Amino acid sequence: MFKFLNKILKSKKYENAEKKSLGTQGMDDTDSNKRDLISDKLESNMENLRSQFRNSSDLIIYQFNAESGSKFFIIYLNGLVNKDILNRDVVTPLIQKFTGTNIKEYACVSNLKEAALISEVIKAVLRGKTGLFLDGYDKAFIIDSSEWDKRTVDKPDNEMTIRGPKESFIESIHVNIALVRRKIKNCSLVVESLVLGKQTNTDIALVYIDGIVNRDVLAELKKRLGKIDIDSIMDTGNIEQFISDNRLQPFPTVGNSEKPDIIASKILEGRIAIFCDGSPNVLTVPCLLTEVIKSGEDYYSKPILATSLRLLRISGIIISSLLPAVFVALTTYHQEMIPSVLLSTMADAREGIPLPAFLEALVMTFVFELLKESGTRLPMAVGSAISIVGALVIGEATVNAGFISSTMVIIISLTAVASFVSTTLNEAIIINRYLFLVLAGVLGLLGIVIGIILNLAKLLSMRSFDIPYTSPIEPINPTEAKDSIIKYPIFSLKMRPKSIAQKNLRRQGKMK
Amino acid sequence: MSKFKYLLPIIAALFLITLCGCWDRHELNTVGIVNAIGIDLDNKGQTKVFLEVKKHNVATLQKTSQGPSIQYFTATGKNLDEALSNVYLISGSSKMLWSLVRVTVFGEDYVKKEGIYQWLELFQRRIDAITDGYIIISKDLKSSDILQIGNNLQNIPSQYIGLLTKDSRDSTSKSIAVDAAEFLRNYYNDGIEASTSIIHEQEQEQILTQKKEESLNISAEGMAIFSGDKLAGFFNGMETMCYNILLSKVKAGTISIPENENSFTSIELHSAKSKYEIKISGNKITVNIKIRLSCRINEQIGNVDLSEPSVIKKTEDLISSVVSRQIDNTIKKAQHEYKSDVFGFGQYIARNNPSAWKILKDNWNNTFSQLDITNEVDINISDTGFIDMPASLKK
Repeated sequence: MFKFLNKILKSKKYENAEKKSLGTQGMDDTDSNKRDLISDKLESNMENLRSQFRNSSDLIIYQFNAESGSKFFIIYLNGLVNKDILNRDVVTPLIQKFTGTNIKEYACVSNLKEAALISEVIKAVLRGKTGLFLDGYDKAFIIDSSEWDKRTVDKPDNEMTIRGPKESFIESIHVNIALVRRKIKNCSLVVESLVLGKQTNTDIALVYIDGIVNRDVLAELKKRLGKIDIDSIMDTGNIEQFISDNRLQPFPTVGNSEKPDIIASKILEGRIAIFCDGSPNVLTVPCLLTEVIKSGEDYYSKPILATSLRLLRISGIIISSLLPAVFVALTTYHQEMIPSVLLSTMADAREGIPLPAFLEALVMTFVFELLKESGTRLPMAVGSAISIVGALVIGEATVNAGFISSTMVIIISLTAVASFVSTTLNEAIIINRYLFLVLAGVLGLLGIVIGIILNLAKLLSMRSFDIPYTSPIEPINPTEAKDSIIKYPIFSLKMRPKSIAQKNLRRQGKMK
Repeated sequence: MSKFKYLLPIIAALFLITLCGCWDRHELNTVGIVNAIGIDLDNKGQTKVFLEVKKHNVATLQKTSQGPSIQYFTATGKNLDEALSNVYLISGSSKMLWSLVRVTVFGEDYVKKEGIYQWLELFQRRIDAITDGYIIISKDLKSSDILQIGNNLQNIPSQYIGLLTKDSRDSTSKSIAVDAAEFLRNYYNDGIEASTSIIHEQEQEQILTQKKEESLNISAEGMAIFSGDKLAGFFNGMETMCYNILLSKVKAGTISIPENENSFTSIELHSAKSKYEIKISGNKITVNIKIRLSCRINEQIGNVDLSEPSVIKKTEDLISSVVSRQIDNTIKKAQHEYKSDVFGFGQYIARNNPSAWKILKDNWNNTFSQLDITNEVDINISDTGFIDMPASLKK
């Protein structure tokens, strides 16, 4: 069924792509190529740039003369540059001292480039740089003066840890890459930049370690990124949907994190990180199923604790997707499987409840999702109202009124608590919860088994960038499995995950 | 339209939700949870079942004592199956849940007339009637009388009877507790006969706190012995303890042994291990049972100083001779009176000497009744308690 939906979507996409390519071809003509060259006349360049920026009011073009008589103008976008640097280190020395032709001798900046095309200048200006034009010279100079307001590096909002680094990414791609660079002080850490989005021109960076990275994955990733033809990229979430292996199924095949230490350790395992300007979440590919039960903290705490926490997370995932379904199946089909004392208590609780157990569970699951969604979207000030309504009205009043049985409230709240254990699998868990519930309501435990088989078949057939999704458990790889469900101590994890890195595997020497 | 035709299966699948009234789906509050089954004969000789079924009370926050939340249903039929299905005529449940039955009580008259095979057939053949719980025979009583008994500790009779059966076995060894699985195992296995626990009336002085004048006092002492599916007879308390010793099932149990007119020793068994030694040479079968008992002195009346090892030895000899005689009597009773090998001598032969068993199999109960069985009891007093000398010696 998903295949069919894919087909529909693909055919639609091709239609759109054809339309788009037709549209862009019309604009491309030889006239614009001519205008792109920088002329040696200051006035014509100024005019050209003004018209290119459509006289936008935040575009600053400032013309000044040196004491020696040379004419200059600088161009930048208001709010994207540090004017102090510009005034002190570029404009002042040029006005006072400029005599010759070589600007580099006078402008006191560390990053100065020459550009021959107007379009180059425009690109730079849009990224917060300043263009400097000299009368009688057919090239422009691009000065890196960019600076704008951004959030400071702070504690992560979503990935809390007790132990380990507590900084998290911000919305600036340069700061984010620098945060990773500070973890991996190694010149083979490669940052490859590209620009995506026809309108937004968003900076994207692929970060990996040359010599560890899996070349096939890198080539595949570049191929997929190259296919993206979209007008805007706002967040890594947009990219994720394009590069995922199977775009319509709920299991994540692209990982993400907001912590530099996690991204750095994933890069060190041979993965590729995808940074996007304006997004505090960094993607990593490939992403395997075992990653959903790992937490950064596992590597900083002792192995027994880490293992037990992983088992806890697995049980949380199982409980939150299966518990309501198993409850419905047991109470409506397989009463003999419930111990008799518990059964009589549960039968008492069900007495006089108007809805069948299946619908009761469905309604309560729905209400819980409703509460969760409104709780996350509500402004802080009214946030407490939701919890009161949730706890009092849904928790107690419905039971007292006899609409919902008290056992069902326990089951759903247990499910809710368990569902917060793994946030990465959230989507899959919610979809599976409904799937299992319907199957259990119709077929009992048989339905649950059918659901589990469907899920297993799906998981086992999935691949993330051509690497089996369930590895290292299936196909089994004992060395790599040391860091899957059971976490071995760090000194026994001598090899990088083989399924991902594939070469340069040893990461620890022999212990003395 | 071609696009929408793929949506049709999805929509059709969504309709399945409304169809969830499949053949074996039952909401919990419409299920009759059967706690206990009593099976009797009525006056016309028909089978009469007596069911204790859970009554659903609306769960409220203010729990008041609503009395026992059970109700009784009784129905008759030509056979057991008919009687049980007639229950649906009166119970108002969509499904009677047979699998959580705690006790199944057979009236003595029913077992004597019908045997137990109807129950065996029914509860093994029917998929919805897998049952566990204890099998009990009510001696001299109707099972319905027992299932309506009240007790101060437990409100629910089935719960009380179930606990009584188990606890009396565990703490006195003067009764046995046989659940359905064990009963079936003994019934079907070669060379051992089935046995069940019994419940009978016990004379008891009226206790002031008891409200009902006609209240029935029951006891679980003793056991019932089967021969095939027919009831062969009963053992009393002491014989049941010997049965438990022979099958190494003793967890605790007190035996009181008189030494002379004024003195006796009371011992508490904590473990009993028995080992059969059966030799077959030609037509002659000799059976010897080696029993190792471990016990402690609970009470000692008489002028005996137990700090002396020789005295302990003497006491041990006395006890072992008494126990040995008791065991001998018990086996003789099973041999001659009931002709039923509940102790599993045949099973021992079947397991250790299958070729000999093939010949013996057909006429085993007769062979068993003529066996010459000896036993050796080896007793070990492990503990005399906190005091050595009897309290009476300290005067």
